[in-house]
Amino acid sequence: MLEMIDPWKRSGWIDTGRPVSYSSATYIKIETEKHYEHHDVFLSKKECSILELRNSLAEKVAKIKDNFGDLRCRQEALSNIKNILKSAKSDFRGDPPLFDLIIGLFYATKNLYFENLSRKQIDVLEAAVNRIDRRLTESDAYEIVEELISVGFMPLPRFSGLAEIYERQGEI
Amino acid sequence: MVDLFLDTSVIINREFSDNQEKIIEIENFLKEKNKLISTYVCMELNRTVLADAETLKTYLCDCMNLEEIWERIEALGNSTRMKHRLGLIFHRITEDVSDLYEARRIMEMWLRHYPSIILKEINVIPSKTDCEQGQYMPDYGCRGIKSLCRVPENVEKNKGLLKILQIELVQDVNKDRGKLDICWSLDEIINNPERTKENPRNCFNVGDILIALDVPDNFTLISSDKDFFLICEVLRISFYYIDP
Repeated sequence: MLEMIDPWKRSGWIDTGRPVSYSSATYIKIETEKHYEHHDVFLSKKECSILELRNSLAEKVAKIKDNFGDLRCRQEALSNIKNILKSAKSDFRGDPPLFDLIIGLFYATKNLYFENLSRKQIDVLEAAVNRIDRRLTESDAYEIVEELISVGFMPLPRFSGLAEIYERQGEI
Repeated sequence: MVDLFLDTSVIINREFSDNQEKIIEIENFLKEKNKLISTYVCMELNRTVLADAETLKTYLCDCMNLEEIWERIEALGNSTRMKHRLGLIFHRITEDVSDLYEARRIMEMWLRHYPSIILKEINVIPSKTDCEQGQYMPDYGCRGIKSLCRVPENVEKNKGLLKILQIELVQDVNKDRGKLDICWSLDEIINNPERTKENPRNCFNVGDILIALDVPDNFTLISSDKDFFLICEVLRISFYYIDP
């Protein structure tokens, strides 16, 4: 049974940054320790959604890491990640930094050929997913997307076919 | 490690081709090599890809919805080069978006990350032309006589080689009429280097030659443009051709 706690008084609570009213709060369980000790706190609906998003993505990324050699599992998990991010795009439009990160992660997985995924890329993807947070800033999002680019992801739409147009037009 | 100097065509093909085999071939060739470009190549990238992306961004900012943007691009007419480019970028940007806000956000992100997307693992050296447009300036037009460009000095310094190149190119014109513009521009530049700034078109026409002049010693120029065979032979530059 979940025990209600006062996050402002007890130690081990997770800082939600602001008190929330009962009407806008959702009661959830968060694992804070490796030995699965639970600390129950109030989080706003938005914060819950962010956590849910992060957890569901982290679970899929972990699945890829744990079964790295299994191409079918990798493809399935990447496809799931892509679908989760696709629907998340419409849920987090009001939070520009998070929206940018979701866009970056969506295109990074969309433009990826699963058979070409490297261990380094999956580590960076994992780190990026773990940074999904309500406190994410514009510069954080920028930095994460840059990191994705640096390991060979294309976290934005590919303008495929533009090279052929430039060639036809004699530009290159 | 092998040292490579990349031409604009290699970068554009690597990033924007719709032929996956070609992209893989280029990426495999470039892997674990020292890659370099000059700011003149940056200028060519800015003048094409970046300018087109910036133009589309203005459409995304000005219009009320995605349909209106498409109508405006369609209205450009088939003879306009811009129509095909903007149409393609618009199509790619909006493939997975639900509305204008998302498309605008993606376009802004693309522009913010443009240097990293384009210059993945590539170092940039200053061009001997000192072209101002290669330095991520928001203005994509050459400032002409007001520009600080050093093409005239560069031409003056390499006049001898350029004259040999001109003779070779003239012989090639009979086989390839496309080289006619290059010959005319090269002739004008050699005879009146100080007037190059008055006609930026001449500079663009001899762009391949100016790129070749930027190649540092012991570097191999790599391109998918056959014109470099002759240029590199005359300028005694090692050249590798990637068949597009």
